[in-house]
Amino acid sequence: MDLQELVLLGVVSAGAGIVGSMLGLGGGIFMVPLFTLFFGIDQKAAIGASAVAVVANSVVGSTVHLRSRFTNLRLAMLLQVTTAAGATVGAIVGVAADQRVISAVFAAVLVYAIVSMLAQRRARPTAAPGPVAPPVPMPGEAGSPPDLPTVPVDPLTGHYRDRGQDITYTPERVPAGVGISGLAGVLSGMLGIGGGLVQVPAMSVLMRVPVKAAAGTSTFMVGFASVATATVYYASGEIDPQVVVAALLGVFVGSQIGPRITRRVATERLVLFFVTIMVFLAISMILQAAAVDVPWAREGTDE
Amino acid sequence: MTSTQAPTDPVMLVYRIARAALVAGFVLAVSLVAIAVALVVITGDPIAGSTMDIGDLPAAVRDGDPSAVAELAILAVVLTPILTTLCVIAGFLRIGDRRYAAISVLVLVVLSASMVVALLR
Repeated sequence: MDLQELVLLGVVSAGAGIVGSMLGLGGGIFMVPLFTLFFGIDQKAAIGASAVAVVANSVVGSTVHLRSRFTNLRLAMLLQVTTAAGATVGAIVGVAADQRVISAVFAAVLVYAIVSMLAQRRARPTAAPGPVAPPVPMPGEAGSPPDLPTVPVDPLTGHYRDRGQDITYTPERVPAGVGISGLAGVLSGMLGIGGGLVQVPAMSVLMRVPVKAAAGTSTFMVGFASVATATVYYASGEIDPQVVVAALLGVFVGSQIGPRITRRVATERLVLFFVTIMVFLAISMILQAAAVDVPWAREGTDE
Repeated sequence: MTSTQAPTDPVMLVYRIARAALVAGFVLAVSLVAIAVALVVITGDPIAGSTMDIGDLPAAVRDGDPSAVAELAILAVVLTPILTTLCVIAGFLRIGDRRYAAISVLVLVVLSASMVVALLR
């Protein structure tokens, strides 16, 4: 891979990092198909690189989300138990699975993501944007607000400030959320996508966690799930450091920008744009799964 | 000087600790990636397309091999959430939340198990 391609790979990863942070998806859902389709990178190497990049994206994004309190730390750790276990199982299956099977599962996940994002968009009325709120200072920092809630009754209760409003919520149907997180983990491990795709709607629709808190909590969680994935792929020799470093550089930049945009832009407005890209990627993956020549796909690079 | 700050949720201490661990991991990983890229420019050696044996890593890093430093950066990224989990456990224990400290230990056990499983395969 020459320098120009590596730079382009970094730019694509930055874009995936921005979108991943904004939607709490981790970016892998865009990275893996883009790497395989347009860079000719081996699917397993793309998944391995994506898994590492998702961890990086999560690390960077979470530093911002934790500060804004969009991350619910207790909820994240609780859901993490089954997510990480599922990711380990998924990664072991993913390493052994045929490329066409992975493409088929990826296509199914993309279709699910498209339907889920459109359904959420239809279900949620678009709120009029309020004044932009600055990041909430941590306790002890200058400007720390004096009117924040004291210790909540339910330990899983979360609160944050969004566009000048204090938001307090308590997650519902927690056992179901724990179960679904296991499934998210399996998909994360198998496809290197982080699992936020399942976790964000599960938290927001099933557990009634506000979307920004769901995205913030998911951003934190996907990094942990992807640790399990990255470890399995690393041990299986499916990590290409050249690809990973280019992806990391892009993600470091992209994931710094994503959460900042989230605070200023109503993400719901961008859903149609993201959905269009995902439809294109889903069609490509379906064609790959069916062993049909994808006209816009690049041939694999020889090592 | 008197403090007028109202009492806040003690879990915010855990947030601060978790954030500090993530920032530390991020800074380390970025530094290593930057060093790897600088070594590529200086030595003219590209980053390899496959990982090396983990036992050979320390010597290769000492020799200024960009691939080894890049691999170290990858490991730094992957280990950051594990470091964060350790810090979260310490944070929950510090605020007396034993239940969530135990849950976080469980997360650490699962992540460690994934590493063991991966290395045994």
